Amino acid sequence: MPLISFSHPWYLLLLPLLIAGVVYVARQSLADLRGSRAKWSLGLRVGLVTCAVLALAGLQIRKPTKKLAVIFVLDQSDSIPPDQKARAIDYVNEAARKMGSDDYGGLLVFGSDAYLEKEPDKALKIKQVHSQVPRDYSNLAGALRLALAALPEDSQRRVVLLSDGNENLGSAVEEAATAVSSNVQIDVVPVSYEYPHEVMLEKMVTPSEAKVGEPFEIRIIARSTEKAPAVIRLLRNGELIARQAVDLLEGPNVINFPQSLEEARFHSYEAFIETPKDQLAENNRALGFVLVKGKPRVLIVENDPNDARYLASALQGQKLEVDVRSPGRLPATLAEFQTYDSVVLSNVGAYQLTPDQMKAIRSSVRDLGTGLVMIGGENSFGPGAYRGTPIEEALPVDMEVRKHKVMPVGAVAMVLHTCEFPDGNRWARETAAAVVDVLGERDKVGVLLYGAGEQWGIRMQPAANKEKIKSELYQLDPGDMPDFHQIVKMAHDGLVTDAKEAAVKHIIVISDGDPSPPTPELMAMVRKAKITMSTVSVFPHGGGSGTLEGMAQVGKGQYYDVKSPNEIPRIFLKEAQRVLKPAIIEEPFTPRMLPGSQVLEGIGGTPPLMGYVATTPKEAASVEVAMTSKRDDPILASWRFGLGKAVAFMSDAKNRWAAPWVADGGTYSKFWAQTIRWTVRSTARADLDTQVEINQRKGKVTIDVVDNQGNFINMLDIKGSVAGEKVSPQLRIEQTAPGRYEGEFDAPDKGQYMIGLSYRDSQGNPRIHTVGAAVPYSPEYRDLQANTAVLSNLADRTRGKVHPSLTAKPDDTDLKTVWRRDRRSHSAPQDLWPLLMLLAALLLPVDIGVRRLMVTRAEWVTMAGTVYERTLGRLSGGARRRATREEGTGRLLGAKSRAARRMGAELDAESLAAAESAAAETAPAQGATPTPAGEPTRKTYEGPTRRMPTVPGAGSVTPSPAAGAGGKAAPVQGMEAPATPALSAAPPAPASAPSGNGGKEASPAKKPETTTAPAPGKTPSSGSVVWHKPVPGVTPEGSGAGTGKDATDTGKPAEKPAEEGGSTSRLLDAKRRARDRKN
Amino acid sequence: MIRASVRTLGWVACLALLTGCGAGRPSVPAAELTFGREGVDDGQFRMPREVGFSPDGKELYVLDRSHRVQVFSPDGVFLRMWPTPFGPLGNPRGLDVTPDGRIFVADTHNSQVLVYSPDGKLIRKWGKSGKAPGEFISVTDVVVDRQGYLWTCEYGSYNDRIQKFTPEGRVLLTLGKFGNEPGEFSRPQGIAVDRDNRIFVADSVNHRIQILSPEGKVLKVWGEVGQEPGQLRYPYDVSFDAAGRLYVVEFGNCRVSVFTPEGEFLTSFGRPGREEGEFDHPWGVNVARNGDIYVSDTMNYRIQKFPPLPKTIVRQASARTAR
Repeated sequence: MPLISFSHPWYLLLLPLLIAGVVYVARQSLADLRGSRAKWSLGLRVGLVTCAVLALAGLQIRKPTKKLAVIFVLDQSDSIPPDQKARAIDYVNEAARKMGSDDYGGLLVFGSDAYLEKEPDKALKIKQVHSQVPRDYSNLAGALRLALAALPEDSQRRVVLLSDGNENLGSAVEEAATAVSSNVQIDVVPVSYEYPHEVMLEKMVTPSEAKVGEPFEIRIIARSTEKAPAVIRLLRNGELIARQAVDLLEGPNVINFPQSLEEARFHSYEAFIETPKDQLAENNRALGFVLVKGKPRVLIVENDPNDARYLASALQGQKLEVDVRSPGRLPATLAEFQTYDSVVLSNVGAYQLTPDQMKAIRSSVRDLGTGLVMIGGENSFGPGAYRGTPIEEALPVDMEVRKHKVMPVGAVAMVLHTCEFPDGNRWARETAAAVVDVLGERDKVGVLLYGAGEQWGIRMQPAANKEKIKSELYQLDPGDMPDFHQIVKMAHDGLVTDAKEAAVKHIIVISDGDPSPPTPELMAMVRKAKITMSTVSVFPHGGGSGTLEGMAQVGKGQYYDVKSPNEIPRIFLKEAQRVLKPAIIEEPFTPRMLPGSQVLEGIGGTPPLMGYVATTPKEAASVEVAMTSKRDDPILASWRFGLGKAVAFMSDAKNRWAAPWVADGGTYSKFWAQTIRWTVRSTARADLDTQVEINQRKGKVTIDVVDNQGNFINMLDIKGSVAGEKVSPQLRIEQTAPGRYEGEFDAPDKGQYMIGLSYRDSQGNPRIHTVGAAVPYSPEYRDLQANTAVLSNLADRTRGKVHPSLTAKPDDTDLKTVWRRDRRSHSAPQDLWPLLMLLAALLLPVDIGVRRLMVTRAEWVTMAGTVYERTLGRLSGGARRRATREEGTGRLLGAKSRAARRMGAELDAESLAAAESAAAETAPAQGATPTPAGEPTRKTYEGPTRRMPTVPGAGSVTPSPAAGAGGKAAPVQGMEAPATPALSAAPPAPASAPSGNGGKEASPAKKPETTTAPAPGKTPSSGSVVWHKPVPGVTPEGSGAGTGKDATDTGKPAEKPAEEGGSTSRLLDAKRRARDRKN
Repeated sequence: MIRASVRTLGWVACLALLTGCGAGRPSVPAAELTFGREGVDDGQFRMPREVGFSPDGKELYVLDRSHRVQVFSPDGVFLRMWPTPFGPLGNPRGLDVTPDGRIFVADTHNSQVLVYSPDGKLIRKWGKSGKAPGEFISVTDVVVDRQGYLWTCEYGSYNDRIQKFTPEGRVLLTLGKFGNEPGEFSRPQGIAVDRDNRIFVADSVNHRIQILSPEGKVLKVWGEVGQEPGQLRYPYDVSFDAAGRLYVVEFGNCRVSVFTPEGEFLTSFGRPGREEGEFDHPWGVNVARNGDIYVSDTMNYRIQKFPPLPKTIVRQASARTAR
């Protein structure tokens, strides 16, 4: 493996481009730098860019590691007995005690899904498993996959699997190949168990269909691990119909129950077996279904049976059997719904149905051909909060009212308080999202919560962009709110100001009741603003329920005490209904009939209706609107939904809106008989002999089709659909042999599966055939002993170890081997990007410094001297102290002269020069490497060229009058060129030329050494950093006034014209600054 | 020139960002110790809400939402724990320790007061849900005064009040009701006793401190809502140090403010956040005998310990004193 690597190598392509750019820019912008400074600057920039690009490319180096990471994978599926699960935890804790300093231990638990309970860490101690793992299946492969992902890369890695090896999802052996390629070992600790006295029901075999009165047999297959007496109970549609004692033999046993059914409906059978010594109760159940065809059955769901009597009587004499039920007595499962061929929901709100019931109705219509009729009322359609529900999906109309521009709207403010039950906040969010779903586009919604104080999580706004609102909603995290007052005040204000046009204003509060209540004054305000308030108490704390109950009472709303989170969505839907009322239009009208409707065949006209619920027809080709209101709203709409048919009637069928119809009698009966009959499922018997088997989460449908003469029927186009309790998997039926058709579907969950098969017979008539199948218990309860072969296979393939089976007392020596180091040393990549970014960040100021600051070598020396003087130098003798005193004197004089300048004293050039030279004279004494008197100047400076005094041989430079008199320019302080043009523009002037403003600066020709260059002993901030760019060949003045003075004293000014010019110009600059300050 | 300066400034800004330099936020004092994290194992917390000390100061008791009292050394080393009554109605919130080492726990949502021996044995409990004298709705805190009487504060169902009990649990006094006038309370969350045996109540939703005499008379009410220094936002707990300074933990402002007992603001520390010295909706504060300040940093699932406040901070001229 290479020593270095890149996580995003493509970024390296940027490197040459950026370097080329840097070089180009450098040539442009660094043109004024020369020599080594330009090279340094360029080098630094290239370095900076390189660092940044390497960081982007994710440079990594690989380091060998001694770390060993072990993840214990615990099987939590139902096949593992509880005592063995406890032992497994003990095993992990015992093993964790043997961990070394470089060992890391983690824990993962699995059933059908895997959860990382604890990431690998240096300490591992488990008291109990907290993760709620679905336990009805064993997914070893999924667990190993997650374990491999959770093991840190920078370590030697091992998985210790504690399992019975019975897998019923995925293939662990296939996953072992990934472990091998990832260099991960899998050790196994078999969890063994035995069930010597176990009895289970393997299967119930029933005919899928039977005729009324036709005898048939229910066959029950029971398996026993020993000879045992047993009792079998058989229930039909929930009622006990047989109880039989049998003597079971070891192995499979078949028990027959002869049956004959008189009632035409969908019958479900359930069998239980009991033996004295049985060990697992979960596998003692079997399920079966038989469909007996007869008269079509219609289910009318109505809150008040009295209201349903008109409808029920209209269906009399139509060869239909009618059941009237209240919503609370509605079938709970999809199988039970198959008793009915059409379901009529008459003024029943969505909150009165469970989500599962709504899904069952949708599946029943779409997949199994049942009819659906929704009849209007204040609890139907939009006001019934059906928007976004599975029922709306099945209906030919949308609950959204798009046509009415002036339809009054409702507004709701929801207050979310943290819910302290598991996943409480998620529940609260999803419930609020459900409310958003049922609101109309023009209804307004806002959400308040306590985050960093009371705040609008979602501001009051129209519920038009539901997805956006919901996505914001899902990001909210309600906090622990101390007080309801402030938040209710905000809700009130929001509704009054941002939703003032709303006809209905409502506040819903969901909380555990902990916050302090709003003041009575505020509640009075809420009532005055005609705002209602309902409260939902979720697992209230002590007095919390009283607080919430009081708020709802005063707020003229409803108080709900929720015992289960499952109730919350229904409550919110019910509450949402309060703001959906505006969709109800109560006015008399005579329905307009549209011609050509199959439903209205033979009905010429109808009496008027008194009201309806506004909806919008779906934009689908099969939607047929047969009746409209005077506002052109649909009153009667129908369509085909999958295998079934659905009708929406927006007015009602009782003595309210339909009072004239009820009074008329004839039209009412004819209309409803025709409408409901149109939706009823085809009862033509299908000649299909169907078998359904579900194994390994796969369902297999086998259909044999023969005609009356026993001949195979081929080339049938059979369409299949499946409806499970939670899912509706795909089913594709294909012919596999003469007269035989087969198909497969996914059956991931235990429970009932209904299979709808439809085809057209030789006359072209549609035929629908419904069969049921069930997975009565988890396959975990089918395995009665551990599958050690799978476990050994995993260990062998990955060169892992098969540990002794799990026992109460694990062996110490064996536990130590969990942490053995027989893996080759692992090298781990280490990210270098933070270091590179830091380096780049540090290079940046250095680059700026190189370009912008000029610290001459002599200044470095001086600074070093200063440092030395202030540290070690203090420890030396009197000479040094004397020098210090002299320096002090010089500094004093210098300060005096500067003060005089600031004060505006008209110092003549000589006295100024004298003062500064006196200061300068003290300098050599303190420098670390003083230049001897009389010695020629030091080496010339080799830095970049400056544009400043470029006039060769100029003895002095006098600023131009413009530059001098302006009094504004302060070029010396500029970091860059501005200083230069002013000076370079100045014409060569006579050495004695006065300054532009007649100031009394010293004559440069006479006293070139009296510049404003600082004394060497000063700190860089006061003068050792010279912002001018020096001229090549010029002795840097900053190196010490003494040096400058020496040069002058040698009497060779003409040999240093540029130096003099530079010194003079600085002096002039300084004087100009002084003048500016004065001015 | 300007362009160059802008460019330079830009780089400097980038550099500042790179090196994490921030500006504009007030400095926070360094926590001397932070311990605990989210979890239900030993030494872990589910929203720690209250801290208290054994009489010798060698043990620290912490209440959190996992139905237990955890005991730590002052350095945050887990020593032992015992469970409080488990129930669907929530978890204890307040705690006080008597000089003889008994631990009084306000079992908030079970509407009772629990008394434990230092080794975690339940000695006694009393109280039931109700509004009659001696009953509780949600009892939030408990304190034993200098005469041995027990004071409780409670709220819920418009029953916000203070009660005084004999050491045996017989109710002596019931005062206050829901409201915002002096002597009325809105979610009193914390209660403490000063050197003069005056009772200080953190009247949290009224954003103020109420001072009661041992006889239950309202002596003074101070505090105003806000986030400026000296103002209060949901004061949840109160505690005194040996110098008599009052520490108020503010749930809403995520800080601890220190006052004279008369309400003169002295100093404050903490700000919202997750770093050390920052808080996320803290619930409890307690000052150890040696002056160390312990704060239950509730939503950060940890306890933070701060060094003693300098003795020099005793009284400052402040524009924001009690009202």
